[in-house]
Amino acid sequence: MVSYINLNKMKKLLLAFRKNLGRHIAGLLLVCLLLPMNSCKKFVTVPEPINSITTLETFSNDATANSEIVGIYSKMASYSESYVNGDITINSGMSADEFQQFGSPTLFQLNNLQTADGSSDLFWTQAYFNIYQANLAIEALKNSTGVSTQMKNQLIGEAEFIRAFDYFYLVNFYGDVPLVTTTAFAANETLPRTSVAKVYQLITSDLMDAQNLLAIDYSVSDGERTRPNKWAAKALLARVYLYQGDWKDAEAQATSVINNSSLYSLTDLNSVFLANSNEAIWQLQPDYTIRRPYTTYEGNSFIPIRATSNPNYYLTSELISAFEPLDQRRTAWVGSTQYAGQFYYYPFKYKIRLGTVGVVPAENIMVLRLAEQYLIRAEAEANGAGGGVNSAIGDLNVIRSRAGLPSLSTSLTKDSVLAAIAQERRIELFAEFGHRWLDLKRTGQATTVLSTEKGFTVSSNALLYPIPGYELQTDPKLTQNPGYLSK
Amino acid sequence: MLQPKQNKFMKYYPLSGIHLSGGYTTQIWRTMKLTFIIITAFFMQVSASTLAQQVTFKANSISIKNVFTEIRKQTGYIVLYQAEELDASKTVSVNFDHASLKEAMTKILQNQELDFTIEDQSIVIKKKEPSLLEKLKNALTPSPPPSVVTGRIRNNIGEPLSGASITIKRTKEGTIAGADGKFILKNVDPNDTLLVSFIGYKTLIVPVNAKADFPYLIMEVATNGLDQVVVQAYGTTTQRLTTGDIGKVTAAEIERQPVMNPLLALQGKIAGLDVNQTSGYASAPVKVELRGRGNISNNFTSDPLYIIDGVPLTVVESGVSGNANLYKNGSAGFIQSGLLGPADGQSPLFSLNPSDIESIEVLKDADATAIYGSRGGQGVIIITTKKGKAGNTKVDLSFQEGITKVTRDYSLMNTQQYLAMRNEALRNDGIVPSVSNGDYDLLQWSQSNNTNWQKVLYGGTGRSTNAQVSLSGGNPQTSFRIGVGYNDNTGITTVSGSDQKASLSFNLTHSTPDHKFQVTLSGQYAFTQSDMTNLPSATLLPPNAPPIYDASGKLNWDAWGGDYTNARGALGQFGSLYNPYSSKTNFLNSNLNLNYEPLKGLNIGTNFGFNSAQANQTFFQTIAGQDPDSSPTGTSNYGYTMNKNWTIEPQVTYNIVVGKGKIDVLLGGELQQTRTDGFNFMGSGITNDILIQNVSAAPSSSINSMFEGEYKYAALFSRLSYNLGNKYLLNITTRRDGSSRFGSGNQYGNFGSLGAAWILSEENWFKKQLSFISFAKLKGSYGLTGSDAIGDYGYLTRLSTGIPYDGTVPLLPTQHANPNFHWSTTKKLEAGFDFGIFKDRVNFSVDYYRDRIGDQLVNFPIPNFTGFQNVIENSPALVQNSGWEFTGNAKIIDKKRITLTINFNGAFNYNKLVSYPNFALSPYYNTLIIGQPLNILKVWHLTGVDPQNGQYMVQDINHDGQISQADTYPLNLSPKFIGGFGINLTYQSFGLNLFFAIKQQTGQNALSQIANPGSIGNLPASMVGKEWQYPGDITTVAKYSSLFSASRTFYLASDGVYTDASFIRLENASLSYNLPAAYLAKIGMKSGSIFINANDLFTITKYQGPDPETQNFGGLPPTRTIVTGLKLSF
Repeated sequence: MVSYINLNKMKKLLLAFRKNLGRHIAGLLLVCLLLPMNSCKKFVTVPEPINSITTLETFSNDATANSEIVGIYSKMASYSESYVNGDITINSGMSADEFQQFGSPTLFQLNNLQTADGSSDLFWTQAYFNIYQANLAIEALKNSTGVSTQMKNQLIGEAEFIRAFDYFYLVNFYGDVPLVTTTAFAANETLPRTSVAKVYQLITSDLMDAQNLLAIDYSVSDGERTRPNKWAAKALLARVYLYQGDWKDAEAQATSVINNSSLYSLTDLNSVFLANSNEAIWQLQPDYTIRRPYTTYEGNSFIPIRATSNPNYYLTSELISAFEPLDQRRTAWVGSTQYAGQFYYYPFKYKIRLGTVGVVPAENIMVLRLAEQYLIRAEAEANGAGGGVNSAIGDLNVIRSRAGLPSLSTSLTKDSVLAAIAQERRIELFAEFGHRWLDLKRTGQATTVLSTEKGFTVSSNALLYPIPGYELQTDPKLTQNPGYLSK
Repeated sequence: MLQPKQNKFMKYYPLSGIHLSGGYTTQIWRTMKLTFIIITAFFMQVSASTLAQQVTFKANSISIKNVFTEIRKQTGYIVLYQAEELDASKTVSVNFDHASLKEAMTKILQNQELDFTIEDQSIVIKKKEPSLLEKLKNALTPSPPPSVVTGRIRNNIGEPLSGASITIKRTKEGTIAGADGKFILKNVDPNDTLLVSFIGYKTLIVPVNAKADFPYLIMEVATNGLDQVVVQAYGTTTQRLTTGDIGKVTAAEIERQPVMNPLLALQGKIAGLDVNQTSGYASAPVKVELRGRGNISNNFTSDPLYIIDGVPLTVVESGVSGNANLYKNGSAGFIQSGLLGPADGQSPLFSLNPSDIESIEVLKDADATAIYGSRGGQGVIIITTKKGKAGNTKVDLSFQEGITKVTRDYSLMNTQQYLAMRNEALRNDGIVPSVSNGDYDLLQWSQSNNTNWQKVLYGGTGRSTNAQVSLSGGNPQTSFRIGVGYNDNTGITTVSGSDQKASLSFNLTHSTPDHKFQVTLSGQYAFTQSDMTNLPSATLLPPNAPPIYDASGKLNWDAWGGDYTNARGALGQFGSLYNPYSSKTNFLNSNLNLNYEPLKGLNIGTNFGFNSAQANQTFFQTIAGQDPDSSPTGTSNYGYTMNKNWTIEPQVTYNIVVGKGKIDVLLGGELQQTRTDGFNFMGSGITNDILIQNVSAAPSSSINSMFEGEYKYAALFSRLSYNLGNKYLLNITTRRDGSSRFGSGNQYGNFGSLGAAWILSEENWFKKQLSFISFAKLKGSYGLTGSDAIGDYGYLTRLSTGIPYDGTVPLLPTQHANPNFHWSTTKKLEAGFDFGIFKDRVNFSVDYYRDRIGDQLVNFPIPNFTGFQNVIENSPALVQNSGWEFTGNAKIIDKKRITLTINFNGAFNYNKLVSYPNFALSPYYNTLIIGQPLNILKVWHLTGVDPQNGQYMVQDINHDGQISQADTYPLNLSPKFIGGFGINLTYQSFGLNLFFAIKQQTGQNALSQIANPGSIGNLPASMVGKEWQYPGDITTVAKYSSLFSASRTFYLASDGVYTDASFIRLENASLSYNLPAAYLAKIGMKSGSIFINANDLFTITKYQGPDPETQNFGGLPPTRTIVTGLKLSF
């Protein structure tokens, strides 16, 4: 009976509910309406994205702070978007007299870059992105409390080193450039160009600072020479002093690198460009996981696909004939191929054209190496630093003897020694990070040498690349280099 | 009293018509007439037996209700009655044998004080009208005046018309009908006339004649353009009564076009709406722009807000910082994975079946759009799907099939001309052709091959198939529609490719018996699959290039290059033909609407919306498509996009008649949340093509790009409309919006508008003086709308992962963060004049508008040396779009047998940068000019070719002896005029519809897209013999040279590569024939037609290039589609 009553009651309740259904729904709808009325913040607050972290989070601990600096090397070593991995060597090698592209000549080769053409813009864009990454780290690490002091020093040191490295190429390619040392876009977006000398001041102070902060070995990268240390900062600083004619300081920096024989020594010609070779001061490890060719861009570009096919780039006959007879570098670092009845020579410093996905490459991108330090010191000495001309000949002979060449006489005049150094740099450092192009420019010989060798007049305007048109458009305070249109 | 329609075909075969003169024709006429009579007689017979308006039924003591049910079963007619007047449970005895409906009804209702009328689909029972005698008697004995009149308003399918207004003509006072359609009106004089009006229905004029109750006021759907329903924001209106500017495209217009994307059906149809197909792929993004470009930045799309059945379609654009020129190319839509595909994305509206669409409304001015607040700045496009209607269950079938072909080829040099050109160029350069100079086309390739690469790439014929079935029906309480469609367009490329769409839509409406509570559920689901390959940009290959494939069907490496890598490289681009791309999407849009009317005029409702889009892409870079010399490995790419979006929109509306005016109030809120996830991953190093689809076989895999966005949105809005005697109209909207796309403190913004209209033609003086003008309205509006279309998290500093380095996963900064940007605002002003003459047979409207867009949210271009090339900011620029729009239509002939109507629309838009503080220091200083349009390009003026050296010359405008930036002038690339006109002709059962789109503009020509004339690459045939050869030659084409010359830089930035790209295009042509209804009835069908539809039949243009619309030479060009089909309804 109880159940009957209950059923009846329920039925009544149900009926009552159905009768008032409309009212219930109306109530519900009113609640819905009222929900956004208290339009408080939570309706428009979204959680932080999961695929990225903020700057604050990044620099809150050692691991992620380290990852931000690694981001710079990741960009630099990238196959597709790095001027450091290949472009400096190839494009400025063509601007100079090192090699030519097989097929129609490029605008670099013709020393006829155009603002609108944009083929030199990537140097600018990528260098400045690296600088942004470095600036971000320097700013954030100085205020960070979560990162250990040791890590902080190393990372700030690396960031300063990177900033100096990128500015070095910027001033050498473009002349005066905007000097950006912060990430504040509002303050930076209308910067004018800063003189080369002032940019060199920042480069120098960054490298001096970095020397004190960076590790003295390769412990940060587990013995791999893939991240800069104190000696890399010194090696780059030696070059910077050399370019400014500060012979004494150049000699001092180079000497301290050369004297660190426990880490650095000249190796057999065929092993120089191997990963972590004893000659390597700083290398970049090419990406071997995502993008073909899983090896250096240069190795992939210079080595022909097969023995019978044409090269992509071939060394100029002038460079080939500049090698002295018996120079072992001529056989160890120059490759040759015969195509359509003609011999072509190509740079063969890197021996691997194609790596294997997932396999750590045997060759790394060589950025700074010991041989250059000998040549820097030789030039500084020839100009009066340290042991003078005699020491210069001694340093030069170290390089020559490795190449199987006879020693130079110790009775040479200063001018002959300087000429010998220039010749040795041309051969030792050919097809390597634009040394030839920058050497011709800094010694004031570029227009005469190039005009003679190329058979057309190379204008002095062509010695600086055009400032990218987009930059001129977005920053009205920026001026174009002479000889180029502003768009 | 109406007779039941015994014969519907009378309508189609009238016995009188156009009389032709002359003996011979008279003879024919007589014969035809006779034939007609015979046919008609025959059909009458047929109809009598098939249409079954006869009842055969026998029963004793059966309830009247059951008799009605039986009548409905046999005839399809529903019976409407009021419970108070008819006791349906009362029993009767009937015996009908082929009794007519009329007879049957009379019999059933005998002995009751009731009468009936038979309308379209229903039988209405009401109290017996007094007989003439009784009327006389009533007139002689004056009854007390019926100060209170009651009644009930329904439409012709029996649905009560809640909200219909009833006014006394004399006093202009009135009331509105409640949920059940009932009303009570006080202070009515016996001699008064009542006016009953409702949106979308013909106004009913009811003389009171001393009656106190009108239980059967049946309203008919309006058929004239002015009074048809127009969907507006959160409601409906009519062109007559709206204070805003709303354009409408109907289902009939959409159906006539053989397009898969409904947006393309809008081309040229709405004044001021510019719709551009971005490529020939059916699924490709569509660029839509209303009334000109509003944003100074080209990093944001110009798309209006799309709303499908009340649910906004929000696709978060991930390309904001990466994919520049979104303005030019439109949104990547459903493809937000970072893997764009050959069509550069996929239009979200491609996933909507055009056959399911009832109407598309385009909201233009502040009055119409401000209630969408922040998102209405670029206009609003409301898409409404088809709904079921009360009545017999109806099946609609349509099937069409046709072909697609490229519209035209662009004529290029043949081999002989090409080789002559190349040799001449090298001669000019003093170069002897050599292998190391890269002259493989002259030295290594056959000198006799002659290939038209356009034919090879896209010379195929595509097929277009479209099949649609829908089922609909219901009763006044419950109605439904289910639609199923399949659509397939195969590509015109010589490799396979197709765009397919399968869709399902449903709609269900139910209301309680008292019609106070109503629920509507609707949904559209579509699955699409697009298979395509990246087209090699090979249209400009030398015509003597060897065949692509060798004898074994593989890429012809040996013939192209042998050991020569550059020549092999030229073949390499055809490798893409071996790299299949496929995109599969699922799209669901659903909407649940609940509405309750607790009190007369008060409606409380909530709209729940949900849509979700999912795209899965695959792209395989096979080994077969790569040079075997490069020891290739395969790569498989997978892209995923997930977009989910829900909204809740509670609303309260209240309408009331106060004195002579009618007030409508709307209060509402909106909560929205959208989440988009996109990423693509890649497996590389695959050593065998058989394993290409198996990503686990890849030695290395990586996630390339990951996008994640979350968007929340909250709003409160209101609208107050006041209508005084259908003469003076006022509309006020307000909205407060909050968006998660802004940093703290900038999240909320206020918007609103004021609109008013004056219908002059309702004034007595107007009616007296200007009676030939049947309708005249002046309207105006002003308001604020805005935009937050900037993508998510723009205010946050962010770092994201990159390619691992030396075993460590790096973190890379992704953007400049700016926490300070806020809502952009658009101030819209509009004034319009609408009028109709000759009883609205000719209608014309003209509108002037002025939109001023300030505080624009832009991806502000800043120099790369800051780290990134842009940052989201509010631009100080003030941009104005102003212009005139006109729309009109005219019924030229309106006879029974022949009708001819024309319609036209046009828009002139003037875009200009009004002001820009500190312009000289802005990034736009070199590209824009204050007072000029945004779409300008500063170009040099090409003066010709220097007769001395054969180089292009440009004009030294400032005569300083140097060519510099100062010598450029602005060239406006915005369309100057867009419009269209249509002709619709029906003659008996034939219908012909033609629609022409017109556009006046300047655009980039094909000459801008060719290689340096003289280097390897084919040239337009029009250049043959026009080039400079010897000093003294006066020519239009510069000296051929294989080397890059500075004069080419000038040429490419001169007006020489821009031409008049205006065109008139027969956008759409459609011819149909309605099958004889009698014949159809015999096989149980209601209607049927056969038709031919075609688009892009011809284009009249002076444009130098393949197509003036896409202005793209080398990509997939637009196509022409011609389909034939059949439509049946039963």
